[in-house]
Amino acid sequence: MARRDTLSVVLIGISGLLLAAAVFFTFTVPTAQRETGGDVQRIFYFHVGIAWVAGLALLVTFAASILYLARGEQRQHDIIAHASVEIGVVFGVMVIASGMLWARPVWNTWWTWDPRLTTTAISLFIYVAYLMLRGAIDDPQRRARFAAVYAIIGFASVPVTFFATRWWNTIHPDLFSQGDFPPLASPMKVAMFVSLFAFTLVYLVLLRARARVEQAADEVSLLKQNVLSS
Amino acid sequence: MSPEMSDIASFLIPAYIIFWLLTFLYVFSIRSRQRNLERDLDALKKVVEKKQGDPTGKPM
Repeated sequence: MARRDTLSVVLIGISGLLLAAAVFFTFTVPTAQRETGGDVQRIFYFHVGIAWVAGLALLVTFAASILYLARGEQRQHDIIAHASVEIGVVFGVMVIASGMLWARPVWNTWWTWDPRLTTTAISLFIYVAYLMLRGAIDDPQRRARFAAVYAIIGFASVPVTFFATRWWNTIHPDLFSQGDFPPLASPMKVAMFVSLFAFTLVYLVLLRARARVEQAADEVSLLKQNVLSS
Repeated sequence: MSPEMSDIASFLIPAYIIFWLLTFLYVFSIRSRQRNLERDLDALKKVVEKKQGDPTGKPM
């Protein structure tokens, strides 16, 4: 227990320092030229970082769900899948909120039914439904099995969201396409990677904390059964 | 305030505020769920201890 707490404290400390560095870089690195966004482009260090975490969280859920079904329905895989979806949904809300804040000065609107925005919203709703459906099934084994199948099918929405900017006509910038942005200069690359690393550590800290809640819930449920059956 | 600083203030600072607010709310929700479960766990452990000490084995 003590070892686990020490690791959490270390992770929290490192992620706090990296987040502070990410904020510093976001506000201070030289920006792209006016035509490609100027200072407005600074939001990418933040927006891309949290979008990466949302995608990573849903990828972890997908992998944990496959492992759950493939490796004898071990509870630990279900715990990781459930915890990761919750974090993915929280970061998904942040992605949409930060995107809206960027869209207002650049597109002159908070929201438009652009393919990237629409697929992002659909993905978010799919995973909100995952959490609601989990809450609606009482039998733990049936709930975990159903959730795993749902998460595997639902993950199809994530690559569709990622590739939406290439598959359809969209006004959303594509960071990975040379046409939309010139290659990032070195200080901008540093800012981007510090930001990605900082948000990834925040995800790991949250995942550990959320998984521990599920483990405690299992302990409570087991003790309750023991008390009632004895 | 320069136009650039005005740009930053209009979206970047609110974006960070939303991030910190949601992160703290989520951490607070995790912490509060954990505390409730720890309280339940302590209460259940006490019930089990009492039952083990009670030769009749009747629940309290």
